[in-house]
Amino acid sequence: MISKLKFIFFESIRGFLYARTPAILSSITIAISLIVISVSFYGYLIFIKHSSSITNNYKLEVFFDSNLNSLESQDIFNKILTYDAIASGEFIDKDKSSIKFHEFFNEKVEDILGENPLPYSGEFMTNDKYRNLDSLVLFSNYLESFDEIDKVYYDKQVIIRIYNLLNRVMMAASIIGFCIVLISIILVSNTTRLMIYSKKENIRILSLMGGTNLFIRIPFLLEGVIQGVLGALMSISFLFIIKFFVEYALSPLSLAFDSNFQFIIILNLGLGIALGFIGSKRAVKKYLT
Amino acid sequence: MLESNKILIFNDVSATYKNGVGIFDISFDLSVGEFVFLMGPTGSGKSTILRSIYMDVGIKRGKVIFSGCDITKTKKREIPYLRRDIGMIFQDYKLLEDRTVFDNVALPLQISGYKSNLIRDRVFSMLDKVSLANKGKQLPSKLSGGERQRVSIARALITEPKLILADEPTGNLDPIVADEILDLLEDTAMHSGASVLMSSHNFPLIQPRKKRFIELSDGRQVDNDI
Repeated sequence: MISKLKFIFFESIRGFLYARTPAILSSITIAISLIVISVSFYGYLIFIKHSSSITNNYKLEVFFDSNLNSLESQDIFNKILTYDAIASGEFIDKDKSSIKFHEFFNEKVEDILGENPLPYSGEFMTNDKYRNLDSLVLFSNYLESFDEIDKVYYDKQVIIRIYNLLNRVMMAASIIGFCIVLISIILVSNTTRLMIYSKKENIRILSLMGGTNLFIRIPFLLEGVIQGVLGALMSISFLFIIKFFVEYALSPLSLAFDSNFQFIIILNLGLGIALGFIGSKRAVKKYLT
Repeated sequence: MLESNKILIFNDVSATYKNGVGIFDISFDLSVGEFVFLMGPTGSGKSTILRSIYMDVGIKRGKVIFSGCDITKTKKREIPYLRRDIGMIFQDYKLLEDRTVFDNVALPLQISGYKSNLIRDRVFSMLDKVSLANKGKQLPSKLSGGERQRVSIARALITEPKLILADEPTGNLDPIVADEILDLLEDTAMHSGASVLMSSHNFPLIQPRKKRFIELSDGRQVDNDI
C-alpha cells in the first residue's frame, strides 16, 4: 500500500515538473484569486472595525410611554438592559431630558411650555454582534411592539448608507473574485488536460497493467492540488509583504491583520487546494474517461 | 464446459469493433502451462482475440472462461483486477519511457500494492532472469529493441500470472533477436508454469517450435491443431 501511495505521489510530482510552465502559470492565477479574496476579506474586516467605531450610529434612544411614572419607566429600562443585544444603557429621567433639551436648543423646556412634558427615556448601546442594519431594525421593531414604549430612534440613514457602500464594495469584489476564480479553475483544468494528452500512452499502459480508474486519476488530481498549494504559498507570501508594509506605514489598519493573519493563511491554503482540486477534477472528469 | 486443466476456454466467441470487423465464432482452449500461437496475416483478428481476453474489446457473443470464471460477465470496475492476473507483452513494448527499467518491471507490483522490499527483491531477481541485471537504472530509450522486449517480458512475468498474452512480441525485431526473445519467453514461462498465447504473422519463426497454433483469417478460425 505504501509503495502504491509513493508511486501515486511521485507520479503527481513528476507530472507537475513535466508541465511546469503551464502549472506555474495556473498557480500564479490561483495566487491572484486568493489575493483578491484575502484583500476583500481584509477590507471587510477593516470596514466593520471602523464602522463599529462610529458608536453613536448604533445607539438606540427608547422613549417610554408618557403615562408611565418614574418607577414603571425604570422597570422597563431594566428589562431592556437584560437583552443580549444591549451592552449598556443610561436611564434618562425628566431632569436629564430637560438638560439635554437645553444643551440642544439653548432654551429650557419649562421656560417655553411652563412645565416639562418630556417622557422618561433610555439610551442603549448595542453589542458588537448586533451592530448591523438588519439586527437594529428587528430589535427596534420588537421594542416598539411593547405598550410601555412609545418610540425607538437610531441613526438609520447613516447606517443604511454605510451598509449600502459596504454592499457595493463587496459586490464588486465578489464579481471580480468570481471571475478570477473561474479563470484559475479553467487554467488548472487546461493544464491538467494538457497533462492527460501528453501522458495518454502512459495512462494506457497503467490501465493495461491493471491500474484502477482511481489509481490513474489520483496523480492528476494531486497535480491540481500541488498547483493550488503553490498558488496559496505565493498569495501568503505576497500578503505577508503587504502586512509588513501596512504595519509600518498604516499602523491603525494593521490590527485587522494581526488578529486574522493566521486565519488568512488557513483560508488561502484551503481555497488554494480547493481551486486546484476543482480545476483538475473538471479536466479528469471530462478528458479521462 | 469447465475443465480443471484449462486456463482459458473460448467458446463460440464473436467480438466486433464499430466498423464491423472483429472475430467471429472462435472456439479454442489453452491448457495450464501450454504455449499456443495465434497465426494469421495482419487484420485476421489475432490482436482482437488477445484484447477480448483482457477486456479491451467488448465480446458480443459466446463465452470466455479464464481460470474457471466467465469473464464476459466481468463488470467494468472489475477489469483492472482481471488484468492483474494476466501478463501482457506487446509488439511496441508499451514501456513507460520516462521511468527506468527497474521502475517499468516494478510497475505491476506497485499497482497491486506489494511491499517495497518485496518489489525490490522480485525485480532484481527477474532482471537477472532476463539478463538485464546491470540495466536496471537505464531508461528504455537507451536499450536495443531486444532489450526493451526483455523488459516487457520481465514486467509480464513479475506478478507470476497464470496466463501471458504476447501480441506480436517479435514484430519489431530482427530474426536472430526474435528467436532469442521467443526462447526467453518459452523458457521463463515454462519455469513459472504460465500458459502463453502468442500472436504472430511470422510463420518461419514459429514453425520450428513445434507448438500448437490456431490459424485465423478475416476474423475467423481457419484451422486448429496443426
